[in-house]
Amino acid sequence: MKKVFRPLITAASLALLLPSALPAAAVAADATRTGADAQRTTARPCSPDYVIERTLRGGGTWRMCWHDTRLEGLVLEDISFQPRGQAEPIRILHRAALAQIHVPYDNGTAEYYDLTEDELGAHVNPLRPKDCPGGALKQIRSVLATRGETVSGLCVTTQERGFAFHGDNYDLPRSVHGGNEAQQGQDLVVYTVNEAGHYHYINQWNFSDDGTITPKLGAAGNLSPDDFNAADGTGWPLGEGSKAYSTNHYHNVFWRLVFDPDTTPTSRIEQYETRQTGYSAKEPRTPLHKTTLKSVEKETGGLTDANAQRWWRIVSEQKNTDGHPRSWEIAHHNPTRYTGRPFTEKDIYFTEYKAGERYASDNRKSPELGRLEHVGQFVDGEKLTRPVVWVHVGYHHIPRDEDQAPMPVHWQSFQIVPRDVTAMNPLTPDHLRLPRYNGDGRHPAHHPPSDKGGK
Amino acid sequence: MRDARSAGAGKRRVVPPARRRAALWSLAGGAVLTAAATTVMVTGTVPLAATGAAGRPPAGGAPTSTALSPAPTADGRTGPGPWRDPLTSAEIERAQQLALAQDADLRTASENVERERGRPQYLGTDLAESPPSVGGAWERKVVVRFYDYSDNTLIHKTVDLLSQKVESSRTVRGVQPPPTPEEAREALALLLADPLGDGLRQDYAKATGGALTRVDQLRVHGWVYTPQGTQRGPLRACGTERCVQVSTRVPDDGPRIDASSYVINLSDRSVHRLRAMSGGPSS
Ligand SMILES: [Cu+2]
Repeated sequence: MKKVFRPLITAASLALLLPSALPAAAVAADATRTGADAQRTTARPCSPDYVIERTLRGGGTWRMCWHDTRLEGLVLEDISFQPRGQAEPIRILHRAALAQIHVPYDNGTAEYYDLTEDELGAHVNPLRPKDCPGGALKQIRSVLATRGETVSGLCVTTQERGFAFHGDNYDLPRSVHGGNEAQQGQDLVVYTVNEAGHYHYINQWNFSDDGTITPKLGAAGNLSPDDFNAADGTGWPLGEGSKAYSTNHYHNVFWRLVFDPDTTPTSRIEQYETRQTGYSAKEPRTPLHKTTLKSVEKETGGLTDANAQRWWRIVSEQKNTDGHPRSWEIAHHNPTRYTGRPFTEKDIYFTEYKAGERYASDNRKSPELGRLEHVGQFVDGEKLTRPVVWVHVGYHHIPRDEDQAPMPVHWQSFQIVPRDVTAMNPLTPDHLRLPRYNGDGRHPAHHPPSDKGGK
Repeated sequence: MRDARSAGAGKRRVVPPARRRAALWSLAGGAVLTAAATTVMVTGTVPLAATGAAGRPPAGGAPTSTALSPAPTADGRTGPGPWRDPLTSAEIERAQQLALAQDADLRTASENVERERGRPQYLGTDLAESPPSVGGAWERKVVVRFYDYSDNTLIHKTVDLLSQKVESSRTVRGVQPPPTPEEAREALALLLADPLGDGLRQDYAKATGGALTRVDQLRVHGWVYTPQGTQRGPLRACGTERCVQVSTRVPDDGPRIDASSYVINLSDRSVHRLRAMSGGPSS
């Protein structure tokens, strides 16, 4: 017999997948300890052509490597942020990419898995300079290429995002800073536009000068002309009268994030909830709230429940200069949770890192030909030592006349927000980088008299 | 997925394989490795030195600055270098050669969509994920994907581009990745060669005023047809066998010619019509 069929993932096969990982790691750790800052900042795992590096107006520098895969499309690796004044970059993510776009139609006539059924990643649209304002276009492999194998499909640019902060520290004369302390924020923005059928998806990553990462997926293109088979309740009449009902559907987007904060994947997950616990004894009986911590030790799925105000953070082994563990908070809520499939039941999943667990659904097409079908099955109570975070953001698309044509872009996103990565706002101006602005503002030693009388 | 319930009443026609010819890939070094490793699903590392191919520069195509160079550092994995760059064309070609060099079965007994013997259907190559590790070591491995029409298996081979070794080989049945443009074109060719293609020809004539006689008169996009639930009728093998649907359009922004009511089984080269049209190109 030519081939023997048996379960795909065994301990032995996993061991085969990770040869020499430990010795190599030891060497790398040594290099890191002995290396100068310069060496560390230049020792990227990719060549200069494939480094994305940008120092933003606020002084912080983002660095990462990029490549593409046929299903995921844009993959970002070795993502670090070096806040202004910080001697070294702070590693955040080992790898980040889309993990699925699941598009089920409400009347049951269609259910698409755009990454794995359509090789979304391989279908990169060429971009023109005006599609990448102020930025640079890079060549990326695409089956849509008409000449050669690549298109100018990766845009690396910057975008304004409005106020980064706006405040008044009272104890400095306004003449020092000419009014309020205020600064406009700027993002490094990286995107491709990939097509699946009639849809064009903008796979965009914003890296803000305050250390925040915003992965976002824009649904654009055109409504699928083949999915106009709905009726009242499962669609919306488009065009004159009510002859054609465009079918309602969901876009359930998944991202997969492999964190390695401070260059170690052995991070912890913490879950926080805030609930009302009662009322103060005195009038006017102010509601009281309490925030509680639960350590997430094992693989699990979670809900961004509005009542519990639940959120999670990935906690590094390293601390900031205030002695607080560095962490990154997943700022996330899932506005339209699709309950029809087991992998969409939760808004977020935490799984132990495993090769062969790559797509949130249709995972048997993973490079390792994984035995498991979806992220719901990846969660089986295993202890978390190298957690992988799967973020799910749904959107129920009820078409409207304005969706034709082309359709206005609809965004789905979440954020990865630094929490105690630096001791203060990484954008804090130098004249405010003083102990008295960091910490207990009531302490007299930290609070010299001001010309405004304080609060 | 497209409505499987409508797939009952297709007409089954088996079209004989076109352009059948025995074709062996000429491999770097021309060596044949009779590796017993192909009898297990997950094979161990087989040094390619045995084939005489190890250490060779990438064959074919002008390697760009990032092709397989510079040489690995002492530990083979770390330090600055192009470990995580996008794959070059030369690397992709080299990875295919390495993947096949080790697998005599795949090199001789497999078949591609055109039923050329000794040529597995090539589906694509991706840079493999480098596992997260303490201290941050990076790998440069690729996964080369093939489909073997001779026994309807999907084969993924992991090749380490630094050591030039095939590290593992995985085979599975019943998993159908999206068809390549080559496979979509073959599906359209089968449809055009079939009486069921008459509708398409009429629509083409209506849209363009010309006669549709060749595949290259249309741009074609394919996707896998997967029946859901228990399936009776001629399409019940789809899933285990490789069935696709296609959408077509006249090149240079011409009109769409609807073909989504047909299912082409590339494994047995039969053409079917879905009872009621439903679904279409993805989303
Ligand atoms: Cu939509």
